[in-house]
Amino acid sequence: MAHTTESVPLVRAMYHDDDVLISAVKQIRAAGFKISEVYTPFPVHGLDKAMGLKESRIAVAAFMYGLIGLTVAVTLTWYMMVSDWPQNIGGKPNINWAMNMPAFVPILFEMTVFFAAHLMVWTYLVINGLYPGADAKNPDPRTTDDYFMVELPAAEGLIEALQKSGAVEIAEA
Amino acid sequence: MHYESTERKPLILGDKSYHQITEDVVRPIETAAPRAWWIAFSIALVMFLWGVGSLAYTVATGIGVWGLNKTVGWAWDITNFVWWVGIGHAGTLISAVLLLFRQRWRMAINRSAEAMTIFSVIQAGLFPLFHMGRVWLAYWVFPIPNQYGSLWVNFNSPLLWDVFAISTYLTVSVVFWYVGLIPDFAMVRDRAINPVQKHIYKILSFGWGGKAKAWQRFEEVSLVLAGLATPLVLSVHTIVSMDFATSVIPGWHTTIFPPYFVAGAIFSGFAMVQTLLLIVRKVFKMEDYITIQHIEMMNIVIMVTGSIVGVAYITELFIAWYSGVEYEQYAFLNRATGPYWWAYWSMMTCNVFSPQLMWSKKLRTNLVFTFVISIVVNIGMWFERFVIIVTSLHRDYLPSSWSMFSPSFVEVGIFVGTIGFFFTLFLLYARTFPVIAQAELKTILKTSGEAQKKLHNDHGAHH
Amino acid sequence: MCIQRVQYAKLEAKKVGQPIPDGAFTVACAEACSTDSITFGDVNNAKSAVRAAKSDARAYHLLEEVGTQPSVFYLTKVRNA
Repeated sequence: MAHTTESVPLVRAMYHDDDVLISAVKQIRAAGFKISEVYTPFPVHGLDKAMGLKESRIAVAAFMYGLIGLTVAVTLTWYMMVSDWPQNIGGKPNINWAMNMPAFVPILFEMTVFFAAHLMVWTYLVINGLYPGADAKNPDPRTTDDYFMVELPAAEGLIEALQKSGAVEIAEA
Repeated sequence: MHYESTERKPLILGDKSYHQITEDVVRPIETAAPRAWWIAFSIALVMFLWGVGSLAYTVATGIGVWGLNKTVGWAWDITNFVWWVGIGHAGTLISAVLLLFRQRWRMAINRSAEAMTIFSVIQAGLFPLFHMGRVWLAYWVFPIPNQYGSLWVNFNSPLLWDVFAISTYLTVSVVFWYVGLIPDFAMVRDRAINPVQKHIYKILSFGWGGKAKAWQRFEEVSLVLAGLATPLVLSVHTIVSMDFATSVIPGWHTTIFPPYFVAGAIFSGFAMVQTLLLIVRKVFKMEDYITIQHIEMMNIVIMVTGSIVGVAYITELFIAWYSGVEYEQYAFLNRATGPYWWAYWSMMTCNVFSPQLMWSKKLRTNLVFTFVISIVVNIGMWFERFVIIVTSLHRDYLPSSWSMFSPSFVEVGIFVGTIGFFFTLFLLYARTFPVIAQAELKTILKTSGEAQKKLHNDHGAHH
Repeated sequence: MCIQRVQYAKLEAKKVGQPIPDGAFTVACAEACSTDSITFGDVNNAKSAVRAAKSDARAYHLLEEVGTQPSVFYLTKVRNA
């Protein structure tokens, strides 16, 4: 995420090819410069590793949300069918939840998936700052077409390094 | 850099660049709709409005305006429900299952296939809702505390499992679709000149900027959703089949239903995708993205699933004979030779014989043949559900209860209305949404693009 | 089976803490029948009239082989008495 304070000027370099971008990112980082953000029109394979980004744990979150869903489903079916008002429905066993459980499998499964999917996507939107009407996060509209932008805090020797790495445009913000 | 074997045919034809892909995909959104679109839209809208009228009449007067009777309590309503849900399953399979199997040919078609899924499931959901009669009490299917003692819903019932399954399926499909759409809406937003268009796509794109961390999460979320949606495809139609399989009716009470229904769903769904995409690729000039290879792959899926359905039919007949159960035997004898024999034989011709023609490479790469067969398959699959439901109900255990069914014009009107509604939605989608997942497609340009492969091969000859 | 009558009887019995005696209440069709063709009761109550009828060799269910164990059973007509 771009953390800029008013006092740190930014440099924005545009690239026109994803392979050039990857090698540029590697070069720039090897030279010791910090990259604050990279904007691409599609997910570039290997970019997150090249940038040293930590792995996302959203899949772990989804798993936990699924467990929550399962717990809710178990509790719901137990409460309603066994505890609060057990009824004789076609002779199905309802003395305890375990005996009735096979009939509940579809409900348990669907609620697990429902919670996992929706809570995960909601989390995804929140952590990425995405919501209807949010301002576009990319500074240059060409980066959703076919340009790739690297955004960095200004530093000594940065411009030259960027030029060497194959940037087609360099601008100071 | 990952390279693809030279043996694999390119998935993107012509000499395309990333920018060209952007241009080709955004063109239908940025240009005015041609007259053909307006004609199709008008027809679909009229059909839709006719359906709305039929539904209003049903709600106001009651289910008695349908052709149902005590013996045949389900007919067109549930036939249409299962038909539409089944069609929807292909979109999820293309998006989710093919993603898990790393089948890159899915990228040009998944967006439209998923749109088809969502619009189909909307149609499907109308039927359980309206067949209740007292539609204003529909909320009774949810486990909400109430003043009847708190009378809870019956979690043992497949009809309730349907409520949970279809709700989950519809909402998860919408969410999966939308997550993928966000970057593509951002593309339209960033190009928009018209301020109204810019504002609309600004809202729709949620502020997406293509940051590296966001893409990383995007890929992870897509993978997890694919992993969740895959068992959904299998479970939802299995649960739908349980509406029949858990009963005692001859012809319904059979363990083959879950896999048989799922295979049938994929069969009809892919056929509908073919029908839609053959038109989309022609009208939008996207033949370089939705190539003959894509059409052929989908035809192969149709052929395989159609064969599974054919085998299921034969298995049912065999088991009816082998079991020695006279009710089961009569159920199938009645299907083939009784008063609805014409529906049964339509089903057999359309579903069993026609997909076998696809063994011929010439036929499965032929566009006209594909289009005709795709419609034939869906007609056949409609008849399959009709045959299962009506022929099993109209003559089951007790001959004194035997009866006939014929639809009233209201039932037919509702069905026609759902077709109109479906196409209204799809036509609107086609001109306002990017119909190809262009950001995803760009990721395979270098490995699977025709020009790029040729370039690499020319260089690769020296390796 | 006249769920409102059944529920009412159960609740009244629960209030006084007694089991429901056989014949304390019946369903509308049994009450209406002028020839006493219909017998209603608790089949789990060993001393009820309906339990006695069920033990009769004439008792059968419709489509018994399907295994749904319906709440309704019939007694075959006696033709040779």
